[in-house]
Amino acid sequence: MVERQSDKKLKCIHSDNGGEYRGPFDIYCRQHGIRHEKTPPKTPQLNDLAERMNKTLVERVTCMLSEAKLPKHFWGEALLATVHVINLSPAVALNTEVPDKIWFGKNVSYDHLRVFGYRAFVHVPKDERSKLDKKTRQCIFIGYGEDEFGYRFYDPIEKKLVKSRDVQFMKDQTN
Amino acid sequence: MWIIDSGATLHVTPRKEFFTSYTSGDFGVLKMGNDGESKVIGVGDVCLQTNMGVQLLLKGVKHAPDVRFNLISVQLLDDCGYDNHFGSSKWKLTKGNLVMARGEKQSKLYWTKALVAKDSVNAMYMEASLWHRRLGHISEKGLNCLAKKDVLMGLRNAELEKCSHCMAGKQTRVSFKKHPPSRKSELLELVHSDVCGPLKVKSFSGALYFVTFIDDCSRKLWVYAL
Repeated sequence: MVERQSDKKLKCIHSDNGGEYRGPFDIYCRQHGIRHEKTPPKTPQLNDLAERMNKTLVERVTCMLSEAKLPKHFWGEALLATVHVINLSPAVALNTEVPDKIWFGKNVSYDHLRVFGYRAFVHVPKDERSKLDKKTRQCIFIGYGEDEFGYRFYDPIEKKLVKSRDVQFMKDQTN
Repeated sequence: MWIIDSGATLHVTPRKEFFTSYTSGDFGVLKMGNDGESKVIGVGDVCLQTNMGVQLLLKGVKHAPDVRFNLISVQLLDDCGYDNHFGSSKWKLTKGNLVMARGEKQSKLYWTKALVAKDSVNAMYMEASLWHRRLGHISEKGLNCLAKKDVLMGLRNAELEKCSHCMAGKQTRVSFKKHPPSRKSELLELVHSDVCGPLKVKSFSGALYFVTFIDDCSRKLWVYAL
């Protein structure tokens, strides 16, 4: 899908030669003519870019979970939200250019960003409520819709994931 | 301390942290009474708590870092509907029946004591902190990069205070600074020592440890097996 979007072909992939990269992944690479650069075993130093990004991600996720006072099993959602903002953050390697700007070739917008863990009131669609039911439910903001527009929320009462764009955020209130 | 200046046409302060709202930029220069000039690098509002316990909002205060005093312009206060009373080395600011502030004359100038109101939170900091959190606790450096490009609404330059969540997630150990080589000048003034072990294999004498002593001045080394 990434290849379709950018109209370019993946030429080379660099990995740390872990067990998970052997087998089907390797076969796929060979079939599609992708060169698979592997580091010697047990030398993470040669896979620096990916390893440093892992550290950044874990650090950011810890920060966000700490602020939102959410339990650790929300790390997956926090991770997706982190990736979203890292792609919108300047990178020194790009001369403080923003990754998304280069990838999509157009200016990026920051207006939709919200603080992870904010309390939000999500609008309940008409077909899910009766006349006198509450029109909103209180949720916790946990990320941005990746494929679809809108935001992702966690409903602590029904313990469900909610995707919606009809939201009021409570400023400065986390959980 | 603030000076009540009847000659000033504008409120001026050199302290950026006083502002509750702030816009930075080049706002020209201020002409001083002594023919000097000083640059204005920002404009904003300052909320003062006067010595009468009343809040006094000064609008359009100029931020000029070269100025040495905080100046309150009498004529601007007048425009806002306040009445200034000078006389017998005292200054009084009233609005209707309410006395807003009092001041005294000291060495040819009228002074008043005022705190910067603490309950109105510093707007600049709030804005930066909000973006810091929106961007998943981005570093100050990264935030400044974006602010310089003017893509974040209402944020020009970012200064962050310590964030407890950042520490929870990102704190590292303090770096060991290379201290300059300070060798002792006399023999045996300082001796470094450490014990090494336990080793897995015993020596012929049955020792599992060895201890080293190093003289700081001469770097002479002694080793004993234990």
